[in-house]
Amino acid sequence: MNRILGCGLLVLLLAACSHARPIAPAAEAPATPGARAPVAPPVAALTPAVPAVPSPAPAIPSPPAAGKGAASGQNPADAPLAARRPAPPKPAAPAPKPATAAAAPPAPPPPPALNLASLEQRLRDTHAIGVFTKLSLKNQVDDLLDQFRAFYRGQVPPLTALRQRYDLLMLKVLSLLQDSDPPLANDIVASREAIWGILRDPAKFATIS
Amino acid sequence: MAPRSPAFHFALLALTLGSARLLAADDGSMVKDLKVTIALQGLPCDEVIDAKRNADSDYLATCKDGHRYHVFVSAQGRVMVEKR
Repeated sequence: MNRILGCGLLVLLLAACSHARPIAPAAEAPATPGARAPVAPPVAALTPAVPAVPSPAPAIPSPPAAGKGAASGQNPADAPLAARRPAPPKPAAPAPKPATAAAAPPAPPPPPALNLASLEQRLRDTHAIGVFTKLSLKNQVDDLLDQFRAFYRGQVPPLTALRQRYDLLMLKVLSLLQDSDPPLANDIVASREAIWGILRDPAKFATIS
Repeated sequence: MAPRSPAFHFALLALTLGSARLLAADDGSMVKDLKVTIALQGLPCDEVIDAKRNADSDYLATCKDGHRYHVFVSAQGRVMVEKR
C-alpha cells in the first residue's frame, strides 16, 4: 500500500516537475525585454540579460560601468564586451535628437515686406478713422515730410527730434486703429522700422518725396 | 381696409428703429471724428455733446466741459480747429 502511495506521489512530483518548466519562463517573461523571452530556455534567458546590461552603461563612462558590472556579480569577462558593443551606437543615437530639437524652434519668421502703397490705400479705406481725422493725420504726415526735407537741406531739426515726431505720429495712428482695425495696426507696427529706414536715408527718401 | 397682421406691425417697428439706429450711428461716428480731430490738435475736449453742421466739412462742436470749437477744412486742405 505504501509502495503504491509512494509511486503515485513520485508520479505526481514528476508531473509537477514537468509542468514547472513551461511556467518558469512565463514568469520571467515580463522581466526580460520583449520578444526573446518566450523562445528562451533557461540558459537562453541569460542572453537577453547581456543587452540589458549595456543600456544603463552609456549613461556612465565606460570604466565605472565595467566596474559596476563586476560588482553586480556578472562575469567580469562579459562586462568589457558588453561595454564595448553598445558604446558606439548609443552615443550616435542621442546625437540626432538634440539636433532636430534645436532645428525646430529657431525657425525665424520671414521679414515682412514693406508695401507703402498698400498701407496707404488701406489707411484711406479703413472705417476705423473718420474723414476729419484722416485729413488731420495727412496734414501731420505732410508736416513731418517737410521737416525731413528741411533736415536734408541742412536746416535745424536734428534727427533725434524727427524720430520723436515720427514716433508720436505713429502712436496717434496706432491708437486710432488698434481697436477698430487691428490687422492694419499690426501691419503698421511691423512696418514701423522699415518706414523709418526710408525716412532717414536721403537716397531712399528722395524716391518717395 | 383689411386689418394688418402682427407681423406687419413688427416689421414696421423694426424698420423704424433700424433707421433711427443708423442715423444715431452716423451721428455718433461724426461726433467721435470731431473729438479725435480736436484731440489731434492738442486741444482739450473730454466729450463732444453737440455738433452743428455749418457747411460741408465745417462744424461747430460743443464739448461737455464747455469748450466750443470751429472745425473746418481750409482752402489749402488743412483741418483747422479754432477755439470759440
